[in-house]
Amino acid sequence: MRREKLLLSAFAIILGIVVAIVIFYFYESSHQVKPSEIQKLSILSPTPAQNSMLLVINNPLDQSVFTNRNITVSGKTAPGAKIAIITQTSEVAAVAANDGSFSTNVTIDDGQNILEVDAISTDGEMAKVTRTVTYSTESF
Amino acid sequence: MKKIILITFSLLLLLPRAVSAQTPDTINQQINELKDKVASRVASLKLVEKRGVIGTVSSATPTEIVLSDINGNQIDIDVDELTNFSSDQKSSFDISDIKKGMQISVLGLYNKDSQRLLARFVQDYTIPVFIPGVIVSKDVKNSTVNLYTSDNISYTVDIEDVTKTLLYSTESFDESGFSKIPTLVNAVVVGFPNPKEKNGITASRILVFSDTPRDPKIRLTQEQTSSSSSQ
Repeated sequence: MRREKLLLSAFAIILGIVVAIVIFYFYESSHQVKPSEIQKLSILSPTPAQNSMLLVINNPLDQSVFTNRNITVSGKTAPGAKIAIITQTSEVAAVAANDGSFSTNVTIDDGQNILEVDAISTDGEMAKVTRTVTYSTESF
Repeated sequence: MKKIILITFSLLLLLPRAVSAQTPDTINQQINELKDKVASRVASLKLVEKRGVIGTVSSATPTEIVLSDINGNQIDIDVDELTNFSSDQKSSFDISDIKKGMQISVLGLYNKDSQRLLARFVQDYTIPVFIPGVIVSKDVKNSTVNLYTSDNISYTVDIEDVTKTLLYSTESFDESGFSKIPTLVNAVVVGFPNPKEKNGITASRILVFSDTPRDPKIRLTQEQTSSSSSQ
């Protein structure tokens, strides 16, 4: 008797699921979306970055410590751009090559130095990168 | 007799251990331990490097300083009994003198793992400003120039007797004078903020780039361009 009850319950559940699937199938196949209900989505293109001019400094790395006052500053920017490498006490001028690369030597002072590299492209656009570099012979 | 038997028995028990201490296995183990120690030391040396930073103090305690560096990065600095403090202005200078808003330079050992800097030298520091922009106008009477930046900030730049004016030439800077500073050109002003005037700068140097068009990102008003052309 109990077994029959269980079988009957299982059959009822399966039948219910089958009926639900059939109803859902007929609803989906007969349902039509009106054109007025369709909402158009448009993906806006991202706003171009304001500072679009490339200026990458490969050397020196920020916060680096040197035991030599004469350091090499190198990097990449717009081809033909004018480069100004400025510290608290000195400034060095350079021009980027046709591939945008540049490399020049700068003398730094004792202790910490702020090294600012400014690049000005041929159309006047400016970009800057700031580094902290230290000259120290202290051993610790 | 019993004592002799006991001693002999004890020696027999200890002897194999004493002998095994000299075996190649033990030597290899010692070599491996030594190798591990050397490797550990090499790893710790690679993990730590010297670094120097400049910035403004965000907070300070007797053992720690939080610094905002010139690029706006936050740096956690540890201070210990070996940290050396010095100041150009004060004869006695230590951690208790470090206050929020103060500008300092720190040289120390940076641990790449913990991302903390162990300070070895701390010094008070006055951070100069480097401002690129366009020279909009020039006031000969007051010896000032007006510099407008891409952030739409207008700076009044005081030109002192010691201020150097440098004109960019082909891969060099030529010294010039205040009277020769052109307007509506790109320039970089190096100096220090003037505490008496909002957006006021006392210039130590002005680097002028007169032979390039002005930065298109810097949009000047008609008033600015007309005031410049009337000078």
